[in-house]
Amino acid sequence: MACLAGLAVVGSGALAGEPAKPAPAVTSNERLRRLMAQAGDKAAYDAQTASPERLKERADLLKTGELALSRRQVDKALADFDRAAMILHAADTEMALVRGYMQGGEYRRALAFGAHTAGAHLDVVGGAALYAWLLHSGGQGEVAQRLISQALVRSAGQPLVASVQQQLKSGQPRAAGALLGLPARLAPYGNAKGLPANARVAGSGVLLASGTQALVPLELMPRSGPVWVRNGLGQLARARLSQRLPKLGLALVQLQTALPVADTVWGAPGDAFPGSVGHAVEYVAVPDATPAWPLLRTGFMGAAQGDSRLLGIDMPPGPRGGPVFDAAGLLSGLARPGKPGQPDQWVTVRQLRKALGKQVAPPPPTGEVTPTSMDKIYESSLRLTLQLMTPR
Amino acid sequence: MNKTLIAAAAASLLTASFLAACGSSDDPTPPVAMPAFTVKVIGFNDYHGNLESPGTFGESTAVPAASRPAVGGAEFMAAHVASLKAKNPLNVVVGAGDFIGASPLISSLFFDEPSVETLNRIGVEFTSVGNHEFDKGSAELLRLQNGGCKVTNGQPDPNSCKGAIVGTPVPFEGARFKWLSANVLATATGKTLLPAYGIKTFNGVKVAFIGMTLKATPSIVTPTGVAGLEFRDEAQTVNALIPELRAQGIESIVVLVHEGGFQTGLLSDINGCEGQLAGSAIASIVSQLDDAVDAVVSGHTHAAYNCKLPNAKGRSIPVTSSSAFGRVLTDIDLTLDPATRNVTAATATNRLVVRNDPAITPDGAVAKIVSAYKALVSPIAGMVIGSISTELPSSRVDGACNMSAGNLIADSQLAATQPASFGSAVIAFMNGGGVRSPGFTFASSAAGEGAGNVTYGEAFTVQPFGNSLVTLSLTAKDLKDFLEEQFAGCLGQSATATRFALPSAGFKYTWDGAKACGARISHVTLRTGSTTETLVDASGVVANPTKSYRVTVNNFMADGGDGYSTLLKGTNRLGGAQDIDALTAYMTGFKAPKAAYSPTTSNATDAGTPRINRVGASTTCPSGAAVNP
Repeated sequence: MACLAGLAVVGSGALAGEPAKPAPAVTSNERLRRLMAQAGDKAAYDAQTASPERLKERADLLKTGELALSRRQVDKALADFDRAAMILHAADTEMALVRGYMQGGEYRRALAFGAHTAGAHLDVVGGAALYAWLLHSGGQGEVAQRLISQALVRSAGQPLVASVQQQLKSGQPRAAGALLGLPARLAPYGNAKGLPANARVAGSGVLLASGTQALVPLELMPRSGPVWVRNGLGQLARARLSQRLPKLGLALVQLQTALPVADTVWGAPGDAFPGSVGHAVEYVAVPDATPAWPLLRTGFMGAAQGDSRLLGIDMPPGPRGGPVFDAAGLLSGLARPGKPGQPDQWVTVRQLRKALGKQVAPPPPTGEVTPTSMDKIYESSLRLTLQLMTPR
Repeated sequence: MNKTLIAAAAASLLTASFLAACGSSDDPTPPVAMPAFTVKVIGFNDYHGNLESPGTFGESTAVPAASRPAVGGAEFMAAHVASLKAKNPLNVVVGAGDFIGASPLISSLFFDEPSVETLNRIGVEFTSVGNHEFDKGSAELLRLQNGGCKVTNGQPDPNSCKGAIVGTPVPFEGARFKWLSANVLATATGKTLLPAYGIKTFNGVKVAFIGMTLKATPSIVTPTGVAGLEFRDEAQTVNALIPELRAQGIESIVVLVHEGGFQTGLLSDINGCEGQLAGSAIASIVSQLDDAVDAVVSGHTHAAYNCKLPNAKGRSIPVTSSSAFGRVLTDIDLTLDPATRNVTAATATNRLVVRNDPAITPDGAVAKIVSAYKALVSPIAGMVIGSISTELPSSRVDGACNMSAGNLIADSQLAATQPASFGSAVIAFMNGGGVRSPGFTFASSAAGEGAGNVTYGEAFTVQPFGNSLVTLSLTAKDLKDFLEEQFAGCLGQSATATRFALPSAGFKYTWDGAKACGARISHVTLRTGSTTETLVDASGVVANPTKSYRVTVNNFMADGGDGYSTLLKGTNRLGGAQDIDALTAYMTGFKAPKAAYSPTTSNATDAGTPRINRVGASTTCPSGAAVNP
């Protein structure tokens, strides 16, 4: 209306920063607010939103972001991708952001944004492929299969989607070849420095609380020489045998360089009861050393058989070695393969503490533990679960 | 009366006269003396079912990653909205579309009902439709607006109407806010699919909110989603509505439109407008808008901006967008002149929905809904844990008060606590009231697990309390007393409650309701393998009163629940698994390819006869005050 005059656009920030309140310290929100205010004073850029120049700028940002991501410079990559997203709302940028979150270990964020990419860009099958892969990795196999089937209906014969469906159905999905192509790229970038050419992913392991040691299946250790371990963020460390634990079927290895452990790894106060909900995480064993995201499977912990415990969680045949979590996300132990023809077992956290001390995974300081979500458990397992690589 | 009080009284009288004057909302004549006042419009767009925080905000800023604020989450959105509303009682919460669709699993798995339920509690009143509102078609959008359960293949979908679990009404309540679709018409009727606009009256002044999606919606939505619908030009739609609104005495008009643009800068200044959104669809729309429009709340691009863009007359009006996923709220203060019913000023501010403001307490009710849906997302509910050969109801199957479902549960609790490390139990009892309806159903549920299969979700329905098992030592005398105190008014039991517990396999007894309290129980035997031990003989005499037995019950019973005060005498208590864990573990022994659980043949120690037996031929199990019906 004509009487609307003098519009005041106030450059304020978060609700956290009310002017009347005392603000003894500059909060992160305030820093962000100031930055935004500064940005508001800058001269306007190119007036044409999606001009060829702006599109080129976007393409350059995607390129530099991808390069940074491949070097595992996550902050730089995300900044570039985010800027590209502010030029054009497009699926390739969003997939890059999703992969960026994953490379930084933010599974839940990747999943939330991946859901949007898959739903908002139905014409770009990579979004659905990436989202389904992430869902499957985090234990939502049924939903992932449904999603990818719907994508196939929309894009019959599309090789990426068909290939993803095939891999997910296999129960041991492996991202290789075209599945590593951009923009979907269904695996993290990984460091391969120092890895021998004949290295293979022999099984899985568990990073211990210090970040300098790991437990791996004893039978997967070579007779001599080093092994390599890599987490779900693609971070690699060379390791050597430190101690054999034959009664548990495990080996303790010492990492040459520490891998990050996000938070304290709390262990279950006691052994999980038979029938309780459990989650097992591991990598697919493959004949090469391709980085990958681990797989989480959910089920019910098995019965006690003397001193040993049945894993209970349905897993395809494999070398095991990955962590087992209880419903609260506390480390409950480590999965072990059963003898030929026998069901899988697990080494309990009580057994681990007996062999290695309480520091393996101390019980949480507060006694009360509550169930936590699978996506949160999977997110923490990205750092805790290791690919074990040995020479072929 | 001092001057302050006189002024207050005058203001009070003025307010009273004004309220009387605007008693009828149809009266367009405002009170003459009413001063200008401010209305707070709280807006956001592209929620996309982000009940949970989508992460931090500010990747493209120079703020270090560790310092970027975590933002969003429905419980924090609700709290921030409440905080803003507290600043001005004259307020309205609006949206610019894409509240649903392309949403995370926590919402999409349940057909976006969680989105609507949380938006209801955040306090949304009006929102435009966006393109994603049409992802599943107009019929589904209308269901989300009006409520009711999702039907799939003629059957209620198991992932719809989860209110009984998450704490919301059943059937699904539908949106309490109004979705608006001024430019979306049903071709069959020529009418808008949903209302074109909504009106809210503040101090007698009406403010209209026109809602629209982008006219290009059909090009970005699956054809089936927009079948039978026509999408018209946004600006033309708004301009055509102006006379209709003015005829109702409305001069204050806000457009909610699911269309947007981008700033040209490289930093995420949520209150910036670099490049004036030049060349964008939203700038084009605004440039054609009638001068009657006072503000535009936009969306679609997921960008945040806070602009003043020229309308058809060249006058700049506020145009805002608040990013996406519940990370930002737009806080608009409109100053209204009651005399002209018009907006005289507007102040807009985009505000981050931060999660670390100590002054903001997340909304507990919304948090509970989010948490409950989060738990439902887990795939374990649909997992088959075992199978049964026949229906095992939670009702009593005979006059002696046996109950098939309770027997199975008692058996599972005994199995879980038999090993020495878990309690060395020889008997288990399950309280009848703890076995929830309907028991274990043989027919397949809507989840499609197949007849006879029992899913974890079904088992949880029967055992929902999360009780833990307690194994304790009772003497033979205690056991007899426990059985006697099942009858109303006996040994401390309530006078109005006869409560039969269900024993595990191998434990049998007989009761006679015609006898007196303390003399009703006889023939108590415990069979272990091929050996049968008599605890109480046919005359009701306890054979070895001090002999101790390890008995498992749930913690409710162990604490004297259901009037079983004798159990408080139990010694050497050992806490154990949760009841549902024990049941799950036990059922794995009856999971295909293993034989299904049969109430008549699965337990050899039952020897084909009932566990509870009764003297007399009555077929009525006593309950309430009755002991011998």
